[in-house]
Amino acid sequence: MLFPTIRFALFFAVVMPASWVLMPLAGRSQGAALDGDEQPWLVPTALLALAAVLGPLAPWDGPTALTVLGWLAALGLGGLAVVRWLDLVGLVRWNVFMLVASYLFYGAYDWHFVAVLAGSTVVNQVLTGRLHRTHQERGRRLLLVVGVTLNLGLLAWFKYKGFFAESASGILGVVGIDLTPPAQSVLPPVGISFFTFQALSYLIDTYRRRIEPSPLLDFAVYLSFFPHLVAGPIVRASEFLPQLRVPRDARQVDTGLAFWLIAVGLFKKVVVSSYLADAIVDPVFRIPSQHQAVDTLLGIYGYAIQIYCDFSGYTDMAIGLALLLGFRFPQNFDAPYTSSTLQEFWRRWHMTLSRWLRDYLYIPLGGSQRGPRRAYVNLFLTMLIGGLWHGAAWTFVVWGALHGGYLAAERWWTSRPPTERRPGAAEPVLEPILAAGEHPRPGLGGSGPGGGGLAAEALPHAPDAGPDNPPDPADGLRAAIERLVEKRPPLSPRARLWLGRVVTFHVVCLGWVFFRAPTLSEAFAVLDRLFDLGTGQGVNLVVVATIAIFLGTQFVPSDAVGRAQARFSRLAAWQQGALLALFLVFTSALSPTGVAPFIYFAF
Amino acid sequence: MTDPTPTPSTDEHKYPPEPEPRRRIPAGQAMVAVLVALLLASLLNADRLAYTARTQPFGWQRTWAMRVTGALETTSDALLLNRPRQFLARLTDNEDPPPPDPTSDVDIVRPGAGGVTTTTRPPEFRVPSEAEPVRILVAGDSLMGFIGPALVNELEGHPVEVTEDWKVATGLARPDVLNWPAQLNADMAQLDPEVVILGFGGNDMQDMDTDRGRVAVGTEAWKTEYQRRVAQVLNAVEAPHRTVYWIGLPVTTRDNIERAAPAQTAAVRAEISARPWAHFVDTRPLLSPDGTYTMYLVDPDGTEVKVREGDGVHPNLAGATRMIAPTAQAIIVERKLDQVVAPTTTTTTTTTTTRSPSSSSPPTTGG
Repeated sequence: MLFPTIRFALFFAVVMPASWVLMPLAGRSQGAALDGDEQPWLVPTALLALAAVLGPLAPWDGPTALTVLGWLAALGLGGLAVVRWLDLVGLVRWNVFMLVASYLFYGAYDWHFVAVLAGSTVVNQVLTGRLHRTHQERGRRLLLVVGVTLNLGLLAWFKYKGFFAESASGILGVVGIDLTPPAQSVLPPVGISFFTFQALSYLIDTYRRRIEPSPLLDFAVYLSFFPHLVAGPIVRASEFLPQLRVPRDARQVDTGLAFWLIAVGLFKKVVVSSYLADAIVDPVFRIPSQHQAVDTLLGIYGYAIQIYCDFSGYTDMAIGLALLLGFRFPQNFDAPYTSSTLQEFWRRWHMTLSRWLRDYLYIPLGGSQRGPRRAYVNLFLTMLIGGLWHGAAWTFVVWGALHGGYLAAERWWTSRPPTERRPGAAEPVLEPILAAGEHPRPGLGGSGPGGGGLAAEALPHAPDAGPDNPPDPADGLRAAIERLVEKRPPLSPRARLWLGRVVTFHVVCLGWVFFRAPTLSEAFAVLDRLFDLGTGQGVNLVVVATIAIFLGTQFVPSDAVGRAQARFSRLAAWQQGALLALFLVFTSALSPTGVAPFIYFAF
Repeated sequence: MTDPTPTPSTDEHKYPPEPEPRRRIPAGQAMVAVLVALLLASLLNADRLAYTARTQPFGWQRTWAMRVTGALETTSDALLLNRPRQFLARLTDNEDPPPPDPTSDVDIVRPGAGGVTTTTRPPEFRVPSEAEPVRILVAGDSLMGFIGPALVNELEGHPVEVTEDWKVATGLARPDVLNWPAQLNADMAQLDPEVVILGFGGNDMQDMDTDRGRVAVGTEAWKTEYQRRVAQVLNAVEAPHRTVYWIGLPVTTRDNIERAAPAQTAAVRAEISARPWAHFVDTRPLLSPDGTYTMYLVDPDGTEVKVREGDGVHPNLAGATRMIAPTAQAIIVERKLDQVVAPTTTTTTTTTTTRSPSSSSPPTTGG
């Protein structure tokens, strides 16, 4: 079930009122606290699940009596489940309701996926509970390793099995070994990367004693909560589970922000992303040979805007929908194309992934604690694995390597001692402009909950050289480069900022070529066209205007957006609804029929 | 087991101050706002809703959706509420197709054909040149998505001009969504291709409306009607200088596609066998050598290659290359591309893809 579809609108129109009706009043959390192993929701939920399976599985082609019997049994079990369910109170009842609603949402893609999700939930909960109860460090570590292995194994089985088999056979073939491992295809469940990463955060944070395990029901709702289930944002257990323990305040629904995000997200997805894909991106990447430098460049720029509008549009809608249910998700985008360094870009692009990679990969790898050179390697490896997370293909590996390599180079360059810098001379292009912790500006309503700062959470700098960090042997190279840089005329701070933005945007665009192309050879074919001067199939001015406008919106002052959201929130409820309706129709009139799947559903 | 007291998040997750505080409203009012938005949007957007309902697969869901959206459409029209959307859509050249043609037939007008059948004519082919390349059209549903690029790669260096006209979520079962015989008829008049590569069927495992009522998928009446529609398509592209390659359905993981595929293939084979200028390309052995679906295949050099998208249906570029490679070789021989004295080093292509990004829009399930 995709967000911007009639089917989802009907689903949400039922779920939202039911959610608020079932939500206990703020301050009353009866049913939230369960004693020990008491889980009264298990029986009705199991009955409901059994009923859901029994009826549809009744053999339609078999004897009629058997089919009727199957449905009767399903109805009976369903009825019993409802009766038992009515006995539940407070947040437990709400949680059961939301779990069933989320599983229905996920089951609309494929019911088999629900089994995978439920299986992952139970296994992680059992392991985490045991880990929490174990006091010996050795045992805890063992349980952690088992848990991480099982989670990554699940991901590998569904997503990477074929890729590894493909790569292994290719590598072995080079050295003359003819070995073709079987790579039986398995279709990966939608969003498996997202819920697996969230399960890992729950397991690892429990191991680190940052959180305590929650009841199975809470954890199941956390993993399956439909607004973030299939394409994020990656919400950490410590952010979401506390919200499940307190009734959401039914007097404080932030519709001003929620409607704004839903409307803007929808427009970005169904109008801008769809248009650019059709008008320029798909043609350029499908048959590169029929394009020349100018239209190929437009295709690459177009993809930069397309993927931003597609992915941030989805998370805008996810955040907005969650707000209407009373939940807050972390911000995921913050005008990424305003970044003047790649480091800054990763503070603004898919922010929940970058902080996940930092906390659960970069830091466990050693982070910057083992010297600058090791920090560069760790940074490179983190981005390489981050690339592979996006998909089982060498194009994603190259994309990750490009980002990792450039980030490492950026850190190396900026980590030189200030004394080495020429007084009053131009700052290097790679110098981070945005100070860590500075509040980022929200995009045109499309960057998350009114803008918001996770800047300090971005992948960290490598440390400066100092007593604990011996000088890097590569400093000689850096000094040589600096001598070259010193020869250029000084640039004003504004010029440096914009030069940084332009360079960063083009590095990101170079990465997008590998991200979008189906194979490495196709990616190089696209890049090759950049050297064939000409306009190819001509320049579509609407495409140029769309790209320019959406790059321009990234620079809209945050206060202006915030004030517009506040003014909207002060309208009467029916006026807010009417304005939203007008915008939806405006979006519909400009959108093609149907909705293409979100790009990030594939991940 | 768990601390039941509410605990704040331990994360550094925080939001910036609001430049102007937003007003929060009670959930009841929020639901009113959502309800107003949905109802008003339904009326303002009634035309698109009706179109969406109409293009659903036949069944009770479509029937009810059409009843509801029909009422909305009437109300909206009576109150002139659909006018703003119509104006905007017209302004941006984004109007939905008109209501369906009640019949699935289309009058085929072939330039110069004069109504004379040419099913037994001998083929007459010219030797192409760089100035006059062989015109090739690739048309069909989304399963043809990578066929064009794969063909361009396979015919690299030969004087050909490849044009694409494929559309997601279409097929022969639902001419009310896209009338392919009419579409191809227009393509023939506009492009006059010498080679036409067709592929349909990924969305056709559904009931069909005929002059004699609705025929259920899988029945004999359905098979007869499907074969009639295949004939219509072939008739639409027939011309003395033209050959047709019909790309058969590959093995997929979708049960409904696999159930209907044998009947579809039989219909296509039957019609093609009566036309010597048409060829059927059986892709099942090409993408599934052992007869079952596989996402990876072994290349001649022993390396494994991914040949499918992740949806269990569509081929990727490598898969499409495998599907089209024998056809490309056949075209080289048939169109005398290997007899061109000075082969060109570039392949000219033009694309007029009519694809809409509606891979999830009904009635698609396969392509």
